[in-house]
Amino acid sequence: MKHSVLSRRIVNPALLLAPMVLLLAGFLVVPVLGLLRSSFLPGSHLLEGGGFSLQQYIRFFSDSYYSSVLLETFIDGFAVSLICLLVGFPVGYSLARLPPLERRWRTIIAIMPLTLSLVVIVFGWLIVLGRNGVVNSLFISLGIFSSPKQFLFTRPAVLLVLVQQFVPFMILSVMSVVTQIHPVLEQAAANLRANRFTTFRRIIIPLAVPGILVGFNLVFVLSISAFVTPRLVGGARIAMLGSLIYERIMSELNWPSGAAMAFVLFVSGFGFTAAINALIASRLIAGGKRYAV
Amino acid sequence: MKRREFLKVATVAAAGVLAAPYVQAQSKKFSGITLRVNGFGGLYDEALRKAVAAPLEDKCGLRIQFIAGATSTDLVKLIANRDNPPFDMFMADSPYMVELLKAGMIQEVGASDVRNVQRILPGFREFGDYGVPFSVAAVVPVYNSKYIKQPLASYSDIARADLAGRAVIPAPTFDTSSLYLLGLAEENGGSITDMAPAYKVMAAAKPNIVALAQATVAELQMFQNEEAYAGFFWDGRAHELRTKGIPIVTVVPPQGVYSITTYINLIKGMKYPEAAHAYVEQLLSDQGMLALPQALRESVTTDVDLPEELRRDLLFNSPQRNALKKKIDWQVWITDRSARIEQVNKIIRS
Amino acid sequence: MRALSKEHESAMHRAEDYVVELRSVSKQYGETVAVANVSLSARRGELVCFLGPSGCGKTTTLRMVAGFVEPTSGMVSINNIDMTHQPPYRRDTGMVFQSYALFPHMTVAENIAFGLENLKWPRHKREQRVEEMLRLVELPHLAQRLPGQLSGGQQQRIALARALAMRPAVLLLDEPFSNLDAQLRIRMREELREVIRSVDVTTLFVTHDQEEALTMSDRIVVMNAGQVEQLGTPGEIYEAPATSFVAQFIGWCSLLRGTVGPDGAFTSTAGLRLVGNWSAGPGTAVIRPEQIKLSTDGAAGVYLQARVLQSNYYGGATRIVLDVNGEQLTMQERFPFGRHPKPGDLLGVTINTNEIRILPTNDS
Repeated sequence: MKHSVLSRRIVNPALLLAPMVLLLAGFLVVPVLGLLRSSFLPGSHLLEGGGFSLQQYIRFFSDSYYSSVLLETFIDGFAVSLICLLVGFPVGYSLARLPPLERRWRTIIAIMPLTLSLVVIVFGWLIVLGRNGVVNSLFISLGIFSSPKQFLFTRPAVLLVLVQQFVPFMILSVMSVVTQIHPVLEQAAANLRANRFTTFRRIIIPLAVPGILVGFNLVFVLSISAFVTPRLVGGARIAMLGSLIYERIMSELNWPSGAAMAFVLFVSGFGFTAAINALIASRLIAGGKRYAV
Repeated sequence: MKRREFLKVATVAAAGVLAAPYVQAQSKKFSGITLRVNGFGGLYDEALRKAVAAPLEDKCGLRIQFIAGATSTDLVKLIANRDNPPFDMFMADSPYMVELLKAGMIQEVGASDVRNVQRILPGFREFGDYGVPFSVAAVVPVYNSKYIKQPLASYSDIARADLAGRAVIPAPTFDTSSLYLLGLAEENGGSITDMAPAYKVMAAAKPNIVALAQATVAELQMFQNEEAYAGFFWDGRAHELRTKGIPIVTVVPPQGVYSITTYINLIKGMKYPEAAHAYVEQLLSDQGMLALPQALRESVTTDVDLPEELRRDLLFNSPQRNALKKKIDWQVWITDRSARIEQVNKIIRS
Repeated sequence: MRALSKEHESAMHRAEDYVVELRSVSKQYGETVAVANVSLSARRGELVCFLGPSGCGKTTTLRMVAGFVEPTSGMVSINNIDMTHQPPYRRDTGMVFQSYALFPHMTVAENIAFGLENLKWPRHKREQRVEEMLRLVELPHLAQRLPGQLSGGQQQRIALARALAMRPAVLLLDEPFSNLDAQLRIRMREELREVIRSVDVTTLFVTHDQEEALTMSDRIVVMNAGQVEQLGTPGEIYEAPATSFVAQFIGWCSLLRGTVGPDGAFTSTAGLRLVGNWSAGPGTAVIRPEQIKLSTDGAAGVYLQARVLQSNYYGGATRIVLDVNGEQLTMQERFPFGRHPKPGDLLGVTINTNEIRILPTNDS
């Protein structure tokens, strides 16, 4: 009996992983490799012709416009992640500290936005932020504004909508890690004369770093690859690389160039998150251990 | 069942009113034939169904089936199924005509096939005997007269200082709605092969342009919600806004109007060219031709007499106006798409 | 011993000397009374233990001293300052948690220094104190380890060092040995007692283990269902239990219900008669195992015939449950190897009635 249970356990993990691995390999890795290949095609239309050329990459990097858009995309992604962290951490923390039953429906509310279609969300924001929208009407009726202000089609509006879209990811990752931090540690800190702020800074945050990083990375990656929100809320004036890639492939049918841009975004995004992770991890954990004998 | 009842009713009615032998012959002519046409959906198909398809079915039993979809997708479907095309006839705007011709999938239609082709206005057939034009839509400057007191007069007025943060224009990603760029170029001494003057105006207009509309509906909403007071827009859609109470004024630029024409085409090798010709005949008839103006205020392509209430609203409503319709080299226009998108992106999004 | 001899006079005359004082402290959660009316005063250097079964309110009481639980009524003062409504971080206490609660992302040294940093000690003093504390718990070589790399016993000593580093007025220990195995528990108990004595800190200590309570405490607060059953020295608690709950909870004992007649002799409900000189009235006799001896003639007390019901060998001694005149009594005795009584055997026993207490039967 004991033997069969044991041997089954040894076999299981590989079998359990197999469908996922096959799915990823077949429908993600292979197409991505195909895209990588097409980014080295010389042409400028669909996938016609063969050959190998760095032309697409040269075009991207020799034009300062694209590197400035890439930089702006990263700055925006970073800003969105940071705001999500500031907004989402308290929510995720307080959810984690609730008894499971009370936590359940509150969590459902927190992740509700994820169940809505992005287009619905964006059109909702158009109504809220418009010149005749809820916010303007409110401020005018309160006498704070004398005439409607332009909120839509501005960078803050894009960031706001991205934050609203992606903050549930931050809430969930923070919540899942804070539930692992035993509340007795907070009591121990309080007993050791740490006020709430010190406890938060030196105990909670350092221990929540894994969740913070997961949330930060998710939001960052989602933000830099967003294209619907920048196109609709930014009125397409706000440059984010995602919408440029979308246009290049969908409107211009220029797959090689779009593929090259996608790979530049992929590689630099990966490098950027790795750098940010290293930085955040060292900073936040250092907050916990300033003192060494 | 329905069909049989209809035939019965039609036969009885026809026998009572007209000379029986003549009608009998006509009604038999295309009965049992159904022609498939790609549709644009909504009001557009509805108007054609009412004014073109229904009378035709009454007269000669020909049935027309509109299959609504996006033109670009339908075009791909058509080209991919060359041997067994999913459509008998194909409606396409000017830019798509280039693709259709390149694919070699459409037949010529002349006055000998369809008598009403003679009524088509001069300069409205852009592709020789290919494609029968039946509707025209133009991208023109528009403004909201409630807020903009000094009327716009040309495409180039988009750069006027008083429009700061108040203008919306269609995104350059569409070959159709981005025709305003041609207007900007030609008003400033450029041409389709020299677009630099247009980009100069765009750069000057940058502080004015609050958004590049990604879809016609999105732009419509922006005018309706007063997010924008001025810009470039479809003439028919400007009229739609007026019916909703928004005082949008359509400007006729003195140097020329840039428009797309919608064509009906016969797919090569389709089985019932005669029936298709009958459809085109009806489409170009007075009844058929007024369908789209009545529904959408899109301009006509024939010498049909316009009732006064339509004439007032249409852009191309007189020989003088018609003369403003500029000729466009669609081949060049399509080829340069990528360059245009990149240029406008660099100007507006930076 | 010191605590024992001074206890009474101190309690009466020098209230200002109390380091910790609880005055009629109660805690209610809705309708549920967790702690009812607990009062206690502990002097400098005294080790007071809260003893009782789980759910008796002992931990809640300790947490009210630490400040994690706010009393519904009553007052908690530390060093004669009212702390009832102060947050934990304003209270001069050091606590060792049941799970130790060491910060897993900090080294041992950082853990110990944490409280000192919050008290704004200068760096060199902190470093000195950390070293001192590590020497005190005899683990100086572990300064740079992370808590996850320590054994349970080591973690416990670090938790103690961390709590004591701040020189708190009160040391609070919440079931500090419950996560250790039996042998380690006894060793740690002795070590802890020694450390506490050496730093002379007032200590409140929560346990459900009577042996721990008896060996370590100067005084014991026996609690049950939120109430204090008895407060006294370990000797008082063991020898003179105030209630049958205390009697039963502390050490093994048999309780016999019955009546003391006018002649001062006790007769149990089943009819077992113990001759003595108790005051008349209904009562419960508390009979400790060591008050029952094997005997053939009854020289040392009442001689009785007993039948063995159960016999359990505990290594050295055997605990036997006997049926004596219809009453069940427990005794403990050493038997030569191979001669342990079996259920059903008949034995002669005597009961040393001199040390038997009869509690008045008005408690339950």
